[in-house]
Amino acid sequence: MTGVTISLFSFLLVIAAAICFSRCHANSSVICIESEREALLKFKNDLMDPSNRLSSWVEGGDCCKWNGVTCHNLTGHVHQLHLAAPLDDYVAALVEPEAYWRLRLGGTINPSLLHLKHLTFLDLSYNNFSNIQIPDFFGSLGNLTYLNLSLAEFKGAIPHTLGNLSKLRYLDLQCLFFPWMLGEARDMEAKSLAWVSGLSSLEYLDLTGVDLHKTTDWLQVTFNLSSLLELHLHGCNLQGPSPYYLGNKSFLEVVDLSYNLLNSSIPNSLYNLNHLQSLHLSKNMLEGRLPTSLKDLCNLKELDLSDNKIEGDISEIVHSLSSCSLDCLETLNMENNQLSGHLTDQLGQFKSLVHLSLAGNRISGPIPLSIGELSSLKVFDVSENQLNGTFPPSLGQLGNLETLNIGQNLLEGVVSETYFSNLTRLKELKASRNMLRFQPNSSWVPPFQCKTIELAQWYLGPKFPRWLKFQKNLSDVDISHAGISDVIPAWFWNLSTQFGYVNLSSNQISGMLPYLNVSAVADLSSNRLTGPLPRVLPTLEALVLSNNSFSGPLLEFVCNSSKRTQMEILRIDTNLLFGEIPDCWNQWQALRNLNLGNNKLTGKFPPSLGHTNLGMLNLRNNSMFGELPSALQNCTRLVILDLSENHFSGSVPAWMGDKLSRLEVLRLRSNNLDGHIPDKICALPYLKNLDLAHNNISGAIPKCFSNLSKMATKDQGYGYLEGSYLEFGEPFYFSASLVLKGREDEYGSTLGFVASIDLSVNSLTGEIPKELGTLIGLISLNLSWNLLTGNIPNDIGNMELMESLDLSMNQLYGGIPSSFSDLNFLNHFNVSYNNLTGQIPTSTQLQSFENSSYMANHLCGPPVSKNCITKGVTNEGGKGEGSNDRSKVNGLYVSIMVGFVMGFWGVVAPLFFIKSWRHSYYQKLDHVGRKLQVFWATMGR
Amino acid sequence: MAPLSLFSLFLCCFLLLLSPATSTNSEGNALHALRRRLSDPTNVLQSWDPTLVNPCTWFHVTCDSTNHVIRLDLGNSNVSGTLGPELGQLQHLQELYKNNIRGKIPNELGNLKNLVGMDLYGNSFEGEIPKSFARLKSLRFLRLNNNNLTGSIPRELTALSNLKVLDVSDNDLCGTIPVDGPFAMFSMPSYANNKRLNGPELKGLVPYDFGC
Repeated sequence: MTGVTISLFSFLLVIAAAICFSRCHANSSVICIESEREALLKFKNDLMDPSNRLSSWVEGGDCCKWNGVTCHNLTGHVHQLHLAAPLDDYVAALVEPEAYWRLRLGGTINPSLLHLKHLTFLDLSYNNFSNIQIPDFFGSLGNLTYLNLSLAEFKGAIPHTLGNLSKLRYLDLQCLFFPWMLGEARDMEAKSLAWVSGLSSLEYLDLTGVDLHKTTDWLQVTFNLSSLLELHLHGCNLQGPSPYYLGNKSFLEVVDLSYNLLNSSIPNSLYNLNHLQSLHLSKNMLEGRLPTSLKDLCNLKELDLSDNKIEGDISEIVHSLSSCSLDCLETLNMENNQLSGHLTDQLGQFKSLVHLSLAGNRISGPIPLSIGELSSLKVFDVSENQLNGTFPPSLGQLGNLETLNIGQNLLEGVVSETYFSNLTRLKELKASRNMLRFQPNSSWVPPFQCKTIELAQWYLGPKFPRWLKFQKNLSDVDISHAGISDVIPAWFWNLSTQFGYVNLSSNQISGMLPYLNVSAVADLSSNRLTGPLPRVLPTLEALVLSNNSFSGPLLEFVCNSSKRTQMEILRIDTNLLFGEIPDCWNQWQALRNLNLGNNKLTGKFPPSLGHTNLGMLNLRNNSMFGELPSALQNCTRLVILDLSENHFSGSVPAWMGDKLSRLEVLRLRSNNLDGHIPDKICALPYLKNLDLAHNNISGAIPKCFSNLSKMATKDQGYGYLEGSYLEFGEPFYFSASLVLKGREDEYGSTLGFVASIDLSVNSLTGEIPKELGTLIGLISLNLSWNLLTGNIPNDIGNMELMESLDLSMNQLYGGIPSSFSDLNFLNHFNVSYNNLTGQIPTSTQLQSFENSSYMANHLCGPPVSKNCITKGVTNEGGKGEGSNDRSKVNGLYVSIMVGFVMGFWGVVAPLFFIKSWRHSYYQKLDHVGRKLQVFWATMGR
Repeated sequence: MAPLSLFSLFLCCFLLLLSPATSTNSEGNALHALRRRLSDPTNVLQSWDPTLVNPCTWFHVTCDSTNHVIRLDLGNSNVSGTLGPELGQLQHLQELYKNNIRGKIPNELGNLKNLVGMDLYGNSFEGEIPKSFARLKSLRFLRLNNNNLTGSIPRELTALSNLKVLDVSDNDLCGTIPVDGPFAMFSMPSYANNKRLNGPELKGLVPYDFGC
């Protein structure tokens, strides 16, 4: 009954509209229909509109003039609702998020919308419907051709009633997705996409960010929809081997399946999509080779397969693509895969190519000369491959090139300035880590104005590259390891009012540095810079001045910075700084990584340093004194503490075990510490490297060392302990110098793999606790130069990762445990100067060391020259301790016996026992005999 | 451990002329090339970070005081793959035993003139023992047993006057066993389980190489 009323009512409305049309057409305005106005008002009523965007929606008004409403200009029916939250000024939204959030509509959606029978267009994107699902009744808005609910924060399942919208041409249900959300739960999900097959007019479908990991039909449904032209399933948690698509109905032009969990090979059938213009499959786990049917994609403009595990020869891929898409291909991105092979001249035939990225593969061979023919090219990125040969001169012909990245390859030879002659539009020149030489004429003016120049490890010296003087837009520059041996010119710092990133490290650059106008990262380490430390910008995040000749006290630099809150990394080790470390570190709250080592700093530890958030503190090799500072108790975030090579005195404090619970590296080497090793040290759950060597520490080695669980596991996790990932350059890892394998090295990116104990050169007494053998993660153990007695525990042989083991200069007795034969990785070994007896166990490793590793003991067997043979029997040494008093046997008898045994068993016995040898021996003897016979016979003639 | 060689001095100086920055990492590059050839299921090579200035802090790699690689200890570490010519740039290769390394033993290993020990036993090497090994004048240990090596024992190896330990047992070698030079003192177990290997060659009146 109501239905009849409504239809009758709308019939009247149509008539009214028709009358209106005939009357109103002259002034081209329509009056909205009463029932639709009511419906809209009800709809408004349930919405939340904090910024009053719908203030024009009032009783009695002409709803066709309301904000966001469009009526049909003939019938007056509401046709379109444009209610997207305005996102025009996205930057403003970031700066003033609250004002922006207020612009979003929220609340619930009233089914009164169903009264808008002629609605074809509904856009609710960017609003905030975070408490509701997409309403089921949207599926009854049967005239819709456009539905955009993207980023409107709807929750839960997509209603399958949407499949009733058979006139729908555009459907966007995108929800929020960031790369880190890969594999994680989302706001919206769908268990099946079967409903999509009802959308028989659909041309555009975007389900970005919707969790589709439970769907198994997504491919069949979408690829069989013959109307569909664009499909965006970016970041949908699509899983598993993508099922084979065998249909041939698809007219898809754009397919975006990037950021999913697809881990199959790329199915051949994908290339049946011969209308395809744009294919995005980046950031999946696709593997295997590309199918040869790639050649059938004749309209392909964009192919993005980056960040997968695709294998194969790049020349074959280029060949496949060249058969059909030669003239249309604009973007080819295959970076970060496992491609191999060479780049071929065929590459030069892709005349439309604008963006070519093959970075992060295993492509070898030279860069072909034909690259110069890619006249449209703007981005050329082949970094991080194994390309060799020279810098191709033809690159210089690419007049449209904006980004050139050939970094981290094996290119070598001399680069001439003429190679750059046409690169007038170049903005980014990234070519670090090659073996190239570039020494242009001193009058050369580059044709480009670059923002970024990275030529690390090129040879650019010995003069400071003068051509940089003309780079007026320079912001980021890396000319480290470049063989520059010159005074830093004053004009360099005037090139930019503010650099972002400057890396001049590992050259021989000299001069003073009063002021550093770098806003983010400055690395000037390993040069010959002199004078006081420079003044820096308060925004600077990392300052690395290590290994220079900066001198003077620290006071000005540390204390006169009123607001230096952003610096995270300060490394000024290995300079000539002197005086006390000033006590005004309260301003340095962002500081995580402080290295003041290898200077001439003196005095006591400044208490304010204890109130920072330091993760790494290195003061090694200075002249600091006093007890180990109790102020450090507050540095509870310390991961690395290195106070070695100073004059600190007293004992190793027990509070270290209580308070510094994150400590992974503790180095107190070469101080004047005495007392015992406190048992509390064993409470450090993450301790992996303990170096107390070269002190006066006495007492026993604590048995509780076996509690150091990080040393007792073979799985050491990541290579680095902690790193700062700044906007520029390589990550800055925490680092520590460690004495391993008999030498001192700095460990950074690989520090996390190392576990070691060095207690050498102290006055430790007692036996080596057998509990040490449980620390199977150790790669180095040095207990040399102590007063240790007793046997070497058999359990040490369980430490299979051990590379360096030094027990020399103690008073150990007994044998070398036979378990030492299992130490496969041993490359540094010393047990000399003890009272060890018996035979040296036999293993490939143990015999590979020099005699000196075993000297001044009573050991026998190789590699020492003393034999172990007693009464003709070899002594299985290394087990008993009492078998060392062997009676001396006359060497002559022994050698006669040995000679006989060797001779007999070496020559006669094999002939006797091994049938084939015997046969062959006598056969050949016979053969020789006959030959001799013939020889004699012929001689006799 | 081993004395600094003329070769390494030469290499060093040459690269200094070319570019002072990259002087030490050619050996790191060689090792990293090896890593790329090898499959490493137990991650024993995880510390091999190619971006470091030299490979001296890598596990299983030992350097001398001038940062030249003098040892490589990868015995019994479950790596598999092949060896490449790059290793010829290293000074002192040792201990790759008990793994699953396939393919031929690269001739370039004969360039390692300071090599003291070459332990490649317990792998799946095939092909012949490189004649170039005759240039390894410092070699004391040569253990190639338990592989699939074929061909004869190169006569050239009799010139290895420092060789103390030889083991080529459990292969598929053929021909006769040399008796000259250091081979005079090796006993039969060194050659056991090579079905086609014939007894010690005859010396004396008429030298006779039995061949294969």
